[in-house]
Amino acid sequence: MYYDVISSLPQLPYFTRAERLPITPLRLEQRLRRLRPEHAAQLEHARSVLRWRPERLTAHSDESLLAEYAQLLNAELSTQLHEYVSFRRIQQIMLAALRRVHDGVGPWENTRMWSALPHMYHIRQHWDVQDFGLEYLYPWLPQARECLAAGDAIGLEQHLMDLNWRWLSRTAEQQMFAFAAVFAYVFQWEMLKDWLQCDASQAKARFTELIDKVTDVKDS
Amino acid sequence: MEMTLLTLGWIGLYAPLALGAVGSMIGCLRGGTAACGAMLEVESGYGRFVGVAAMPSSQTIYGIVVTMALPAAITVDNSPGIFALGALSGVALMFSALAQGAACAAAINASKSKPEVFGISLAPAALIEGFAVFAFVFALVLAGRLPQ
Repeated sequence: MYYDVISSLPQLPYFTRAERLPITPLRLEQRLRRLRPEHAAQLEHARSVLRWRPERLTAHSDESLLAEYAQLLNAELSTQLHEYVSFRRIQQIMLAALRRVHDGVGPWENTRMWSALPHMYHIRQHWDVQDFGLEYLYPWLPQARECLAAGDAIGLEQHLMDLNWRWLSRTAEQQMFAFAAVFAYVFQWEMLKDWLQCDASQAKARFTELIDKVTDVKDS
Repeated sequence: MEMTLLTLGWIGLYAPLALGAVGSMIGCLRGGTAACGAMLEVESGYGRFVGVAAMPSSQTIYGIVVTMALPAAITVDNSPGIFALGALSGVALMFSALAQGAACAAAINASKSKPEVFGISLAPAALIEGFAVFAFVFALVLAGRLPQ
C-alpha cells in the first residue's frame, strides 16, 4: 500500500478545468521513487507504451504499436494495470478502425497479429455497419465517429481523454492507497500535461511552418 | 484436557491487549505514513495530521482495560469464558484499528487539498471508534459475569 505516496501527491483538477500542472515532472518523479521496484518497473514500461502524445500518433505504425501492446500485456503487470492496458488497446483498435472507415480504407489484412485481437473477427464481419454494431459494448463509439466525421480533432481528443480520465478515477476510488491509485494518478497527470500543452496559436504557427516547408520543397 | 483449557484461558486473558496492540500498530502506520506524505504537500497544520494518525492507538488502551477486567485467577471453570471474551474482543479491536487507520489516511489525504473538510472527513474514523467502544464496553459487562 502507498499511503505516503498518495498523500504526498496534490489533487489533480479535471483536465478541462485545470490552468496549470499541480505538480512538476521533477517533483512527481521524486515522489514515485518510493514505489516498490517491481511496481516502478511496471509503471515505467506501461508509461512508455501508453504515453498519450506525441509518439502515439507519429512514431508508430499500427503494427508496431500493437506489438508494443502485446509485449506489455505479456509482461508481469498488476491486475488493474493489465485491465487498463487492455482497455487502451481496444480503444486504439476501435479508433483505428473508425479512421479507416472514415478514410474509405478497407479492414486490415488478415494477418496472425490482427486476427488474434479482441473483436477483430466481428469488426471485419460488420465493417459496413455503423460503429461495427459495437456501440452497446462501447458507448463512446458513436461520439468518436461523429467527431471524426466532423473533423473535430479537439472534440475527439477531449472525448477520449474524458473516457480515460473517468476510467482511471474509478480505479483509484476502488483502491485508494494501492498501486492502482498511483498509476491512475500518473496517467491522469500525463493526460493533463498533454492537454495543457494544447495551444491554438502555437499549433497555427507550426502548421504554417510545415506548409512553408512543403511549399519550399515543391518550388525547388 | 485441563492443561489445554488453562492455556486457552491465558491466551484469552492476553488476547485483547495483544490483538488491540497489533491493530493499533498497523492502523497508526497507515495514518502515520499518510500524514508524512501530506506534510510534503502542505505548508502548515502538521500537528493535526499527526493527531489524526494517532487515533487508532485507543484500541490498545481498550485492550489493556479488558485484560485487566478479566479474572486474574485462571481456572478450569472460567477458562473457556475468558478465551471466548478475550479472543473475540481482541479480534474486534484489531480490525477496528486497521479500518480506522485506513479511514484516518483517507481523511488526511482529503483534508490536505481541502482543509475545510478536515472535521467532516473524520466522521468515518469516529464511527469506527464507536464500534470499538461497543466491543469494549460489552466485553467489560460480560467479564463481570465470568466465574472468579
